[in-house]
Amino acid sequence: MNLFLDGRLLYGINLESVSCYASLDPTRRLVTDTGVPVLIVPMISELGNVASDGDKSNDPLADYKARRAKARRENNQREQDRLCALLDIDASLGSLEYNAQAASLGLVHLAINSAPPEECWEYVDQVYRAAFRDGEPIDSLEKVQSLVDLDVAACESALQEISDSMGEEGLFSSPAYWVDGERFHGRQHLPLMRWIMTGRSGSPPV
Amino acid sequence: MLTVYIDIKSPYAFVAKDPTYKLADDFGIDIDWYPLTLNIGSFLGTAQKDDSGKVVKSERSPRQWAAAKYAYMDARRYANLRGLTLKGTQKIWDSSLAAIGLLWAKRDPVKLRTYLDITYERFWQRELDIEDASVIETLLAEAGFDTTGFADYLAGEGRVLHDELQDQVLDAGYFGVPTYVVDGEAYFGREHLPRVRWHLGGCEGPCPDIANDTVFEP
Repeated sequence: MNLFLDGRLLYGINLESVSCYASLDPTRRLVTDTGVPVLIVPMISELGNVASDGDKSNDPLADYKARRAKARRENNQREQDRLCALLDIDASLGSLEYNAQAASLGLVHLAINSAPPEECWEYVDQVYRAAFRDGEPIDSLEKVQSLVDLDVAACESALQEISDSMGEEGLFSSPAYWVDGERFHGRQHLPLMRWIMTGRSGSPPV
Repeated sequence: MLTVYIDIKSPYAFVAKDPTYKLADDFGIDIDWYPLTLNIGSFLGTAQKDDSGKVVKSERSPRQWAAAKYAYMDARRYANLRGLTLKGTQKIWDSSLAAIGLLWAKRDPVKLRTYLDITYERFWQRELDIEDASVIETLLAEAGFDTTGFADYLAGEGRVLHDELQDQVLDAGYFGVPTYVVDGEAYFGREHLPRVRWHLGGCEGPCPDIANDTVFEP
């Protein structure tokens, strides 16, 4: 499966992430407004916080790093609160943790079977709503198979291929986008992507 | 009042400078600038390159390399769109002298902008040794400041103020640049400029989402 095609937007999302949920509607609007086709795929592996890498023994910066990590956690909480307000969802549900491996297989099934875009958008929206609005995440194969009739082994294989391909292309943080040879991490880049996808005319947003 | 924390050696703060000016100009306000001197090695590891771009020393994990490469690529593409030059740095710089220069420059907001403009522009063109005290003093003079006493300030009062400030900002919860603070509310990253704008405008309507959406019309 070739993820990176000219003239198509690749949209990689983590189905466990409320930040990715916040990217859903704006990305859908971008695709609708520009008429550019989209391939939506799940992301199951991300880079995470790289500050924790490195030799921790006898670290002279240990205290500084701990204070910085605390500041970062507080910032993340502020952002989480803002996301929940933006999405109008309950804060307790916005921080719901669940395993989206099964739900990711369902999205892979739709991708590898070239499902119509509306079906893909609806599936993703359903997964996010179940978790972050209803508090009943789609976290089992049984639940996924009530939505899509998937070949588990084939989808697991395809999911690994997708993950490997995205990693090789340098896409490691969700939501991830690839368009016209450019890779983006985060929905804050949607204005620049819109500028690219509408022909790069006029002054670019920065 | 809008308080903004920056670091000369941050590519993201460099790209954020002009959109931040524009925001302040649109509202007719002065910005209260402060240096937040990043310890990049503490979260991205350290590395050094020679003039050909070859890595000659590295204490970065593969993950840290991936994060650093993406960050520079991302900042550079936005810089290029603005016609700015953003060359990758060859080492992790100690930007504390330039930061103390910013503290000196706070006495005049107009000249401070000039100081930031020339410092940022030349540093990212690899034309500036920001670890040389005489370079910082020259920049301040070029920006129009009287630098009498600056050398003593750099080594004494300015250094103390800078170092104490770094402790205070970290304990206040600010860890990256640019950080914008309005009415005690902190926003990390220029992608929050729509929110900063909303906040300065009185928080009317729903809080907007993050976006790099500043447009400079020709």
